[in-house]
Amino acid sequence: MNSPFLRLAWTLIYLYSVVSLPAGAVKCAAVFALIPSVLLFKIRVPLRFWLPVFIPVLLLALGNLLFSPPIFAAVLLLKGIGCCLSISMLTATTRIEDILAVLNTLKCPRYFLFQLFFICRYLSLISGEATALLRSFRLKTHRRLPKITEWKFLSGALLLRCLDRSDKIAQAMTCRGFQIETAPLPSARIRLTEIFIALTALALCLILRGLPL
Amino acid sequence: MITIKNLSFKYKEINVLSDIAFTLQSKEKTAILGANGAGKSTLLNILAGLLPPTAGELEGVPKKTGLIFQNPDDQLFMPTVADDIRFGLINAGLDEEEIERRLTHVLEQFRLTKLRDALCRELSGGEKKRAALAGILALSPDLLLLDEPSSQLDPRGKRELAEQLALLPQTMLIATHDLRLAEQVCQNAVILNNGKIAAIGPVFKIMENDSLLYQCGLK
Ligand SMILES: Nc1ncnc2c1ncn2[C@@H]1O[C@H](COP(=O)(O)OP(=O)(O)OP(=O)(O)O)[C@@H](O)[C@H]1O
Ligand SMILES: [Mg+2]
Repeated sequence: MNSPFLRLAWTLIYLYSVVSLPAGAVKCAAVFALIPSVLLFKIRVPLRFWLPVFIPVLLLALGNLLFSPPIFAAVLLLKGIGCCLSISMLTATTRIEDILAVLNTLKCPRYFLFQLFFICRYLSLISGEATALLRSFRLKTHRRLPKITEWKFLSGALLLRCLDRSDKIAQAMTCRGFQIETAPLPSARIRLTEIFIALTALALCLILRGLPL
Repeated sequence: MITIKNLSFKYKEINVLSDIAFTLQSKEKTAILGANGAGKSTLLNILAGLLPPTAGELEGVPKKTGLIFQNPDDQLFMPTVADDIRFGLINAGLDEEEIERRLTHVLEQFRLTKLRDALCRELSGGEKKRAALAGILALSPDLLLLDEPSSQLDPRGKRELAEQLALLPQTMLIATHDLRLAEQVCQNAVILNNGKIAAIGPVFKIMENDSLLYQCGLK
C-alpha cells in the first residue's frame, strides 16, 4: 500500500467498522484489533509511535470497568487499541502533506484542511516547547520531574508559551503572503484501481463485521 | 518613497513609540539604532502591518514587504530548511521551476546548500538566522525590514551578511545595535531613545557623535 489515498481510505474504513461494532462483540473486536497489530509489526513502525497510545486507552477501559460489565470494558479496550494503532500506522507512514493532497482531491473544504494542517504543526510546537520548559526546569532544580504542585505553573507557562509562539508563527506566515482563501493546496492523483481496492477493503470489513463471531 | 508621519504606539497604556516621523527614499538603506527596549522591533512590526499604529500614518509602504524577525525560531515554522524557504515561494504562486531556481540560489547565497534537508529545530542559532534570511530574500520583497540581522552570526557570517545586504537593491530598514553593520550597509540612520527619535541623518555623521551614542546606550 504505497498510495496515500489507499492508506487513508483503509484507516477511515477500519475506524468506521471498529467504532460501530456492538458493545458486546468481543471476538469481532479482537479480530479487528489484531489486523493493525500484525501490520505494525510487519512494517516495523518504531515503538515510540504506538506505545504511548496504550496509556489513555487503558485508562479509558479501566474507567469503564467501574460502571459496566467486564465484557464491555474488554471490547472498549480492543476497539481503542485497534483505532489508535491504525491511526499511528497512518501517521507513521504518511506525511500530513500527502494526506491533505488526497483530502483536497476528494474536495474537502479548505478551511477544514488547513485546520488539520495547523493542528499537526501545533502538536510538534507543543512538544518542542514542553521539552524546552522541562529542560530549563531540570537545570534550575536538579530534579528530573516537577512535584504535583509545580505542574500547574508549568502547564500554565506551557500554554502561554505555545499561544505566544503560535501567534508569532501566524505573523511569520502572513508576512510571507499566506491567506487561507488563496493559499495553494497540493492535490493527488487517485487511480481507478486504487478506488477499486478501497471498495474491496470496505466490503471485506463489512463482511467481517457481519460474521457471527 | 515611504513616509512615516507622527507615528505613535502604545502597548496597553504604555507609550512605546511617540511621534516618529521620517522618510525613506526608494532604494535607500536606513539603520534604526537604539538600546534594548527603545522600540525598534515595534516600529518594524508596524511597518510590516503586524501591529496597527495607535496614531499617525504610513504612506507608500509597498505590498511586498519582507520582515526578518529578531528571533529566527519565530520565523522558521516548516520542518526543513528547504520546506521553509519554499513556503513563501509557493504562496507567491510561482511555478515549480522558478521555485527550485530561487531555492537553489538562496541556499548557495547563505551557505545552506548542505543543510537543505536539515530540520529547522536542529540548526545552530546562526544557521537558523541565515535560513530565516534566505526564506525572506527568496521572495525578493520591495521593502526589507530586518530586525537584528547580525545577532547570533559569527564574524565571517557578519562580514558576509554586510556584503550581501550592501549589494541588494531593495529599500531597507535595519534595526540593530551593531554599529559596524550599520556603517557598512546603510546610508542613513535613525536613533531611537525611549520610543522617540533622538537623532536622524547620514550614518557617518551619527557615528562621529560619540556623546549622542553614549547617551542612547549605543556605546
Ligand atoms: N507584547 C508586548 N506587550 C507589552 N509590552 C511590550 C510588548 N512587546 C514589547 N513591549 C515593550 O515595548 C518596548 C519596546 O520593545 P521593542 O521590542 O520594540 O524593543 P527593541 O528596541 O526591539 O529592543 P531590543 O533591542 O531588546 O530588541 C519595551 O519596553 C518592551 O517591554
Ligand atoms: Mg527588538
